[in-house]
Amino acid sequence: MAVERREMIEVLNAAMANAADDLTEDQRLRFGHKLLKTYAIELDSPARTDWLAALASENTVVEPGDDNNLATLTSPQFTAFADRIEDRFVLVHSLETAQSSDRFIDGLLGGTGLDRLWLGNQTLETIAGWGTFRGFGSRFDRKVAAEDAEREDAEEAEVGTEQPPEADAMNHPVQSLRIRLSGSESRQLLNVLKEHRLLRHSVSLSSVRMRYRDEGGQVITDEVFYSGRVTARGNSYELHRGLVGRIVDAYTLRLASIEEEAALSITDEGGLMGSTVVIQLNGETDVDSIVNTVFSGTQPFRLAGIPLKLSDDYVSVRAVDLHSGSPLNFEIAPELVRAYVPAGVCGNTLLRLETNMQQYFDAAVRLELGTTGALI
Amino acid sequence: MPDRGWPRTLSNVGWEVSVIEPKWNVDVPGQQQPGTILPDLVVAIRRDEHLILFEAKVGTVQTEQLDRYLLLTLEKLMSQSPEQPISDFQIAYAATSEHETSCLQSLSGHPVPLVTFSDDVVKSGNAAFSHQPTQDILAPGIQLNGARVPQHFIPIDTDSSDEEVLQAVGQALILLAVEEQQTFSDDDVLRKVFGDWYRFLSSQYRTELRTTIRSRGLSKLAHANVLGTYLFQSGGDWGIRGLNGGENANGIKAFITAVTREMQRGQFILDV
Repeated sequence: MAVERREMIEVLNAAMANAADDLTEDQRLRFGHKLLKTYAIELDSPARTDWLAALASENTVVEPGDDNNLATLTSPQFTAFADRIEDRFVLVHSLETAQSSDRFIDGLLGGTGLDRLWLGNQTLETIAGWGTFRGFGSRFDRKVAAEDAEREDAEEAEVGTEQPPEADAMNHPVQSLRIRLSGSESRQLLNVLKEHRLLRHSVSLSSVRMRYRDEGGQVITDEVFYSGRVTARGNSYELHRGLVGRIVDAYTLRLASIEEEAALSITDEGGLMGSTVVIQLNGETDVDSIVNTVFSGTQPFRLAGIPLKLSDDYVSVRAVDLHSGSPLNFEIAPELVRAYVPAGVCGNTLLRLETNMQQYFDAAVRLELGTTGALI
Repeated sequence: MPDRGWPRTLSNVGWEVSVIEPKWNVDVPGQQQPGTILPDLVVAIRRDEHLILFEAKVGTVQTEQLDRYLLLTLEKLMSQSPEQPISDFQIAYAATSEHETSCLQSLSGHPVPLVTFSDDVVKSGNAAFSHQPTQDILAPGIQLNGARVPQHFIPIDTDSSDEEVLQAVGQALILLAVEEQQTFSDDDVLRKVFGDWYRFLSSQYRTELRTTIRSRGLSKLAHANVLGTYLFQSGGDWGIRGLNGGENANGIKAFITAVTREMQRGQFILDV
């Protein structure tokens, strides 16, 4: 029987309430009780024409719900709700374990047409500013090779299963950094880390935890991850859903900035419109490391590229985004990555690039419009 | 900081691409057969009804070619150019700074400006541009300050190196594979390489580019070490093995892996 939206809300509200009671009384979840995890997923243009088909696969059955924007996703030992918003995005609500949910989402995103929301440092900081800062996670690693066993399966599903070579990590003051910190002073501690001379290029946010309240006094404590996952603590699904919707809205603005201001096109009169997109680097970044890591066709960058050396430290790359099947071209130098995004190409590609550049090369990098230097 | 590699100075005074490599005729005194000119790039400044025909040079200016350009009249241009109306036009040459001296010698005494490009500046210094806003910009020069010169605003041309052609064709093949195009023509590849630019290519130049793509791109990749096992020729078209049969994901994955690995390692250069 098709799931009803009312039913989904009741189930998710009840799950949140159970988890909230457990955490209040026992400081841990009882057996069978799970935190609600919501994954925000972006659909590319073709996938938007039949979003249910885009979610279906050999291992995943999609059953439409009682309205056009609701469905259940079922695979062996996994069930979730799919909740479409704003035409372009789907929220997948899961009450399974984090490991199981992550694995399911990784599998779902293995093909073309679907991608995560890539929430870079600045976006996570903006989101954290909507509530009261309660903690953060930071992850920086000069190696792209994923260490989590759960990630390996997803990479098997991606083109080019060979892991990218390790970057020249030892030339960097920080090779690897993992922090998880929570508490009322975590905001100040994050600032201290970011301002430290040796750490400022390595403190890359992987999550922020925040207390978020509405005008009616309802409060949730959600953790927002760079990969578009939002874990809910509290007893209001509606408030959690509202927060996720707000994140999607903010993300949409960044996508629009890329797709409307940067997209390169040629007018009928032969005028060139748009702008390059530039990531300023510190001038010491090893070009070969970027080329070999970013354009190998593997997760997380998902760009298959063909490099051509223009000089010892200047490389042109013609690439294809394996998420959307779109062409993008790049130039890489120690002081910049310059991207050319043709009109019609999904802006998510560059937000994915920015977020992962922050985690694997320099936590301080940002996307800028090449013509004006304005931040995207 | 703005990306200094992309000054919009000339765009701001109205420069727009009119057509790339058109084949136009000029009347040659004393001959019944017309002469031919093939400007590499024609720029239109439409608000001033002005065209600039650029010939890009590596080396010296050939006198015979220059003489043909100098025979072009406004009436003859108006009868062939897609631009209407045209009040004025000018022939100009472009060269990198290392070829400046030799080009200037050939152009001496002619009202033909030479635009030179170096890592630091784009400028002209011999004859003046008759379009005054252009002259006002190029006489002092556009400072590039050693910026990394953008490579990807315009795709390859027939003078591109083999490596550039192979890179562009390799990218086009990945795009075709992702689209699950089991067979495709030289023109399909050309369209992928040029994208939006395709419609600005003259038919003559499209023919030349198709030859470039076939002979210097596809044919070489079809004989490359690993790629050669995927790319095949069938009649006048091309195909990629392993993309048929409804289980395309694995075939596409294998092909893209082959392209990126082989081309990233540069093996294709050694094996062709």
